[in-house]
Amino acid sequence: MNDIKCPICGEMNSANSETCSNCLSQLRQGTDALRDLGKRPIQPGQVPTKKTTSELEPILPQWLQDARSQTSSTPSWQEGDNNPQINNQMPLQQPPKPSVGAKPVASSGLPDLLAGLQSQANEEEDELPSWLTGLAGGVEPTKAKPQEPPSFGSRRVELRGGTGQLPPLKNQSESAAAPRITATQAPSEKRGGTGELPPWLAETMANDVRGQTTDDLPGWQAPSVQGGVPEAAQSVDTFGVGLAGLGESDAPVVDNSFAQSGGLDWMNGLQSAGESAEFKDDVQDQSPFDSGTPDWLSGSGVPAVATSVSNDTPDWLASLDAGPAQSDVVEQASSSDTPSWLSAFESPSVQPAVVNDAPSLSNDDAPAWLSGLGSEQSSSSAFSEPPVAPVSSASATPDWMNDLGSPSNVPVVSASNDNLNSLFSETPDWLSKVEGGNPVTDPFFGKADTSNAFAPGTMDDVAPADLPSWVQAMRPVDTSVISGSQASTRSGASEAKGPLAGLQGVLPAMSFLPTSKPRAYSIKLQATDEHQGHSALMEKIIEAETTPLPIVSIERVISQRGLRRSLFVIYALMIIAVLLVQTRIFSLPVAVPIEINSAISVAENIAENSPVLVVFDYDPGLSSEMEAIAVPLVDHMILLKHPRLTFVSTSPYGDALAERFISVSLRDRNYQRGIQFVNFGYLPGGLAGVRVFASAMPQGGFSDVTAINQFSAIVVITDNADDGRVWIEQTNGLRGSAPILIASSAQASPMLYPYYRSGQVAGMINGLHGAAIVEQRNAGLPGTARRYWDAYAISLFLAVGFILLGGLWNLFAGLNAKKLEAQ
Amino acid sequence: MPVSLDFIGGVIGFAFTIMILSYLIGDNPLYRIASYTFVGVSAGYIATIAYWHVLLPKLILPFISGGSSERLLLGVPLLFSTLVLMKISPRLTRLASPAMAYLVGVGTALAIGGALSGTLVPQFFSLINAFDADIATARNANFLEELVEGGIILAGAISTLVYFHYGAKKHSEDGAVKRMGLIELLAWVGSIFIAITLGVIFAGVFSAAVTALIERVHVVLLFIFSLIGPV
Repeated sequence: MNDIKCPICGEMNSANSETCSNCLSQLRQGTDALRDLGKRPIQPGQVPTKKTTSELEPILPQWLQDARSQTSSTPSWQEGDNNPQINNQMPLQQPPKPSVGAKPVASSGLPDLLAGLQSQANEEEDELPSWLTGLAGGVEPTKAKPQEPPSFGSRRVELRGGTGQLPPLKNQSESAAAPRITATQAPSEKRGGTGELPPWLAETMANDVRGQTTDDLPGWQAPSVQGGVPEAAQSVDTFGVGLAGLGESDAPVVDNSFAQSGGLDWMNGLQSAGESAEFKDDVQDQSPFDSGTPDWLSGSGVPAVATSVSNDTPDWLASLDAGPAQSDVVEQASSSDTPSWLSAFESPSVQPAVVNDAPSLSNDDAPAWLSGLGSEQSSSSAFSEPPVAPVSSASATPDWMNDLGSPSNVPVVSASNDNLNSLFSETPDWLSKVEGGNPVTDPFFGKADTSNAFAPGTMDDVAPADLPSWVQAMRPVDTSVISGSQASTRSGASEAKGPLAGLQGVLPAMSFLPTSKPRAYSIKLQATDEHQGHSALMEKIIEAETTPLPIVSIERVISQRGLRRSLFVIYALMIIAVLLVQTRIFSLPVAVPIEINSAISVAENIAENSPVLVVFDYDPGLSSEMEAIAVPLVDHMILLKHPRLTFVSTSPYGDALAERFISVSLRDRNYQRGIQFVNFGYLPGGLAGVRVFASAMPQGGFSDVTAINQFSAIVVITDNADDGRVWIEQTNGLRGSAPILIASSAQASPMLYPYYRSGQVAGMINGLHGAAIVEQRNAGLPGTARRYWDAYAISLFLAVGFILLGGLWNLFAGLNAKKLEAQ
Repeated sequence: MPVSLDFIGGVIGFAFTIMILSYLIGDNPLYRIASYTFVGVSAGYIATIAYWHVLLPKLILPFISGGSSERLLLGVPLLFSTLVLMKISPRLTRLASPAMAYLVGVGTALAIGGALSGTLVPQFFSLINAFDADIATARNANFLEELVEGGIILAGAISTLVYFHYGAKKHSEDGAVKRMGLIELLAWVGSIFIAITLGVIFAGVFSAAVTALIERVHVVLLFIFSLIGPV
């Protein structure tokens, strides 16, 4: 595959590209995404997941499995092969569990590679193999030990067990030693019970182990075979100083020393083997499961090989060897999420303490035969070869596997570093499917795949649609064929509205990359000069609207207190002076107005002792003026005709004013109440009262006067034009021929004069001027007008003078203002 | 030494006159005391007058000593008077509405009737008769003078009425709203008459005020002279 088609946009990208050059979407998916395969399907175009060929075994066709089972019949060494060495170790370490030894892997008759898997398929309750459980972190409840999780050192001891360096563990505490013992013991037991060892290994074991004694074993293996602790202590010379102190020091020290001495050499060799064809050949030809067991491993006995395989290889690989046997190693691994062998690489904190011990272990104290191995092939050393086992699942591919496909698909490439890392760190997709235990939805057909992929009955029915997801991911699927869930995931949700409503994934959603940072927009206004000009004009208009206009206020004409006080002072001084001096500067008016003349005529022409109605409708404040006007007229009338006076008033004050008028002002006339005058007093009701009075005279007056028309004259003394008008209007038509004489204040005379002009009023005497005229007709009696005349006249002149002066002042002030404005 | 009432009256008059005149220097307590005193005295005086001159002689005494028919007739003003008293209480003020309606109705009718019969019609005839030679002859007046006087009165009356005519049209030339030219001319003449009338009224008011001031100053001087002896 040279190019990779982008699943999102369909753009072809180079094989080395990680992301699409067009939409920057992820072109490849790691196996991390495959872990939750049940949740997220594999997308087409993804890089195939690197897997070992063992993953392909469950999906092999049934005919292939049958063929394999026929060709590889159960070897004799696998059936009831109990290693005596293991049995010898059992009492030392821990009694074997019945369940472990009862694992029916031996009866399955499957090939060694498929033995464990077949057992998984047969067990309904245990869908996961033990090694797989340990890899996935599953725990079998029936075999789980309530012990503490194995420490890092304990796992290293497991590795050490493979080398036969178990005796030092005896000195450790029971809690720490127990797992170590089982770690070394269980694989051998399982191996013996299941008989999974290949024939070549079985033969080797049968020959070497039975025929060899502990003396024949290398020195470093002897203690492990014998199981004696002292021997282990004595093996310090053969296996280095670090191992010598294993029984006395902590396990991690031993583990790291082991790792430094050669425990990881096989891994290094594995990495290098991936690069060397020679190593590949060795791996393929010398698989520890079929024929790859070296001689030294065969000579060391089954336990050594088993422990080396089970400890130095991943658990899943160990389970391939051990089958469904539930070893303690698996149990320990199941208690931890990280495999024991992988934990060895993840403990850098302990490594520094072991660095110094490593050389002595690997180089100096190695046995000769081991050194020779190391010299011959670095990757095939005693410590490095067992780790070939995990690779062996790929490298030691059986023949049938080699026929499956090209080498590129076969996990032989896992010999490289990347593939190796991915192999150790990633969970196969099909394995994840099994782990989840939940039905996986087929990404193509959307059906829930509830069938057990490992069931024997389903093996024959392997259809293209049932291919594992990682195989499906390899299929050249067109991008348009995307499942609904995938489309919704990649291309976004379905369209809710618009012409594309109901469609899903029509619009590419690749451009929408939600980020926490909002997109920045420029706040700079993109305005042209014309726009700016309009904006400036608008601003001017708004500014002009908001600018307050100066209010042309007219200077209010107010009464200036200073001027008012000055005028009062002038008037007061003038009046006081005139009154004190009693000047006669100004003569009384000579010309008699026609209305005054008519009034005097009426007063002089009334009948003797005739009733005269006198109306007092004025306020006390103007009593001085009104008395000055009315007294000469009434006095003149009294002097001439002695009328009987009837007093009435529409003002409440009229009664008092009438009493004061007759008793004070005309005191000299000595008029008698009830005989010469009658005071009706206050006449309520306003114009209605006047109308009633005019209509029906109230009793209590003169007996001969029962109606208003019976009065010889009606004298209305008023300071208000309305009061005088009321009497004129309401008595109109009722008063008959009785003339009305109006003695009004100067302020009311202009309003009442039209009634005289119309003939409704017979005569009028207005203000002090009229009073002065009447006084002259009355021989100067009582003389009030004359007494006030000079002061009155001067006041008028002053008023005229002030008005003129004020007018001139305003005139010149106006001219001056205009002149200033003109200037 | 007995103090005469005239002297007491003179003292009170003098004091209140000074207090009122103190308003020239501004509003002060003396002015307010005098004002409140006048208001109080006026209210008391009016109440007294109303009782002694209205209620007692025209309602109470006739109701007590009058006959049944007279009492029955007095029941109407008594009822209305009682209803008018309901205006004291805001909740019962609506009960005074009939009496007030009666008063307003009667007063309006009398005012309109009196105005028509006592003012408008006589004034119309007065204005018309000004141009009647017979009437002038009857009044022994010079007809020419009467004619001129009548003409001035007519012009004043018409121009003053035109002055208060606010009807106008919008001229199409400049868009200004103006009255007709004749009306504008008559209104201008009417404004002159109105100004003269207002001037006469002002003169009359000023004359009345000056007369009152003179009288007050004279009273004060008389009181002072009465104290210190005749000048």
